[in-house]
Amino acid sequence: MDAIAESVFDNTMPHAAVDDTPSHLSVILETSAAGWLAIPQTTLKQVSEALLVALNAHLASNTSNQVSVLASGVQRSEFLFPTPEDTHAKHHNGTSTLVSSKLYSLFRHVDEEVLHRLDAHIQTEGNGCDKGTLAGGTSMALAYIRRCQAETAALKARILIISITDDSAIPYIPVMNCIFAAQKMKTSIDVCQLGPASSFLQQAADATGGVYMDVKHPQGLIQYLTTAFFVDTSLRPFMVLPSQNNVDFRASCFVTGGVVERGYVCGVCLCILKDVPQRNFCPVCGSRFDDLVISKLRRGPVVTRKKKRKTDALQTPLTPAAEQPEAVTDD
Amino acid sequence: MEELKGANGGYAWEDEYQRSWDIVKEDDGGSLEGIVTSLVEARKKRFMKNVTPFQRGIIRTMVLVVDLSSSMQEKDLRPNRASITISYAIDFVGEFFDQNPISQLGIVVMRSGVATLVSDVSGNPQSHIDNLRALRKLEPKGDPSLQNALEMSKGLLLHVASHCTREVLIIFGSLLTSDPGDIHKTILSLVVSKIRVRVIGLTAQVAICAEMVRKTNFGDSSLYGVILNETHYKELLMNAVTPLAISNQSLAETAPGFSLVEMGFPSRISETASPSFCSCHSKLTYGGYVCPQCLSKICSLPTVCPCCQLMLILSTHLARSYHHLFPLKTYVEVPVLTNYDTEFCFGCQIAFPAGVTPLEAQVLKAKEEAQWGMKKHMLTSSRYRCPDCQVSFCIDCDVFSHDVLHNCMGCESIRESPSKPTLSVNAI
Repeated sequence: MDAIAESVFDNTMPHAAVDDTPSHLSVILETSAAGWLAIPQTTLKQVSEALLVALNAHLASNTSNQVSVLASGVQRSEFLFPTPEDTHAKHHNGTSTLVSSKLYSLFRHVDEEVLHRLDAHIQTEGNGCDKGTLAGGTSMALAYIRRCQAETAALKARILIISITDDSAIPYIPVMNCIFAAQKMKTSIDVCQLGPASSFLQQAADATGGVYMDVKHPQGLIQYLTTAFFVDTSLRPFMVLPSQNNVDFRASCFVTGGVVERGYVCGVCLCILKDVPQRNFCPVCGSRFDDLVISKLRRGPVVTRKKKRKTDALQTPLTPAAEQPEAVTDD
Repeated sequence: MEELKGANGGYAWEDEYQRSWDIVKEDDGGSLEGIVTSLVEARKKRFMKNVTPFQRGIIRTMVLVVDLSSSMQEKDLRPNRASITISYAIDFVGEFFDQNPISQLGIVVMRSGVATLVSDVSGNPQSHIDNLRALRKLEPKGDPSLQNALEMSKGLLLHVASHCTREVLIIFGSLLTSDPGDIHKTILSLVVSKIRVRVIGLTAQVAICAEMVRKTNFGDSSLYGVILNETHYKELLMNAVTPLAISNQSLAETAPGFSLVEMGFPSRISETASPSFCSCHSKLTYGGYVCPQCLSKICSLPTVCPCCQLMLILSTHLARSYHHLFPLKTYVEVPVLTNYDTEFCFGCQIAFPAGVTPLEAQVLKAKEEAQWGMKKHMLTSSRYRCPDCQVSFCIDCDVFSHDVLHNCMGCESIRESPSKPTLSVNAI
């Protein structure tokens, strides 16, 4: 018996050497009403339930772990947790009916705060514009992570976006700026896509070493959130993650919106054009192009017919016989 | 000379020496917190630069000329000039390609009277960094020759297409140049080939450098800087990362107009079963990018297709440069008031300091003036407001937004009003 017990004890020893670096998880939840309507398989309520489980799991895995939650609607993005009022000790006095009072206080605190604020956020949401505020939410999450990393040394951070909308609701340049900022801060962006596929978010996950998943069965969201999206960034190189081999990197034309494989780029504003513009002006920034360059680009491929004599002259040096007379002339 | 004058009207060197610890004084409560935060904010403010949108020649070609003559063995910079220059140059290469992803760089070294090519003009940051690392083994020796280095740079930049900028950045440690011929002729030929020279001096101003910078930059000599200390050295080097504005004069000279460049946007392929040869290194690799024109496989982007010479990039590389073209507006500092409408920073949710009554403000200002004998005062509201969305940020978020993020968190997060007419960009 002793022998068995000992070996078991020995085997568990290496686990004591786990990495204790705290980690920050920032979740951005999209709340656009139209987006949720378009997904009949699940509701915002079910998703927020699954999300709270994932948040609690993250907090439970290390005592110094932190979370922040943002809601990103069509009209505004705001923090659900932590909120300034909340961090300044204006707690609910235990009268909440949404969360059981027997829950571990930290979990209860997060859960209550998120649910209350999410409710308030949805109440105030109105009709939005064509572009959502996901980029703003991501920017705020990055700013908050920057502050946390300044306060706590060696804090790892990652962002999880629970997205329900496709590319049409995402402004291009701001979201790209977010990706580059996240790259600089070594923060990975994970994307849990419940709606139609989004190539911007695919690129975001690809560029920052995050996980992108099109969730086909939202009923099992808890499992997705606590497995594929739960892996710590430092462990990712050693795990087999749901990989995305074919990221759509093709550009699209600024004017026609068509997909471009081989296009033209304006030297001033770097806009991408599928064809050489009809007039010699950039349709985006209005700068005038060089006529010479334009005419060179417009000129199609031309098959030049070589003169017979010229080809002879080219071929002669290749033959060994032709080399000898050349050597004679050199002398 | 005006900018050399200090706060008291005299030159900086005539001023009484200010010890950094004299500035820090305790307030009535015996706390240092207020003064420390205001000092920190004052320092951060210096990093905020004025942003004015202007057209920049984004596709850049630069030759970095590094002095490795005997003067680089001086130990005024620790451990010595040469090794600090090489480590800063490595940082510079990384930052340069981060900010100018479709640009090209070459590296030349001036040593024992000759110019040696260290790294050929290319768009691959890793090879430049490797070549710079190898330079550490090379001992600084002999005299530098500016003329040789300039002639070599000219040769490297000669083939560059007209739509790219041609720039030379010289890190010059010596006070002399030993040239085989007339350097003035070389400078004139640089002007003719539209090469712009920027010099960072490590010792003192040298007349020939000043002349060279002035002549090649249309009379503007602001691109010649002499370092004060290590931080200033880094600052000058990082200034060279931002693309040069196209001056009006150069605009007039290139009257025919701007250029349109043909580029390919390759798609990524994954080969899990069997590897194939890449056309750039002729090695067996799994996966890569496929040139849309000639269908050859390339390992990394951005590059020029080795087979059909088409410039290949990712659209994300272009997007990285967009923030130069659409810069973020500078936030406006909120004046000191009794009450503010915001208590917390919009970005990081940090609490702002409370308001100060006018009387208190008067007292504080008077105290500051008495302490430092300066006209400027350190009292701030710690709130910085975006002129568009009127959202307040703390100084850290302000710096973060302008330096790293390049987005305004307020403008992107709040869409109460109908959206502003923005550039419609639907690129993927």
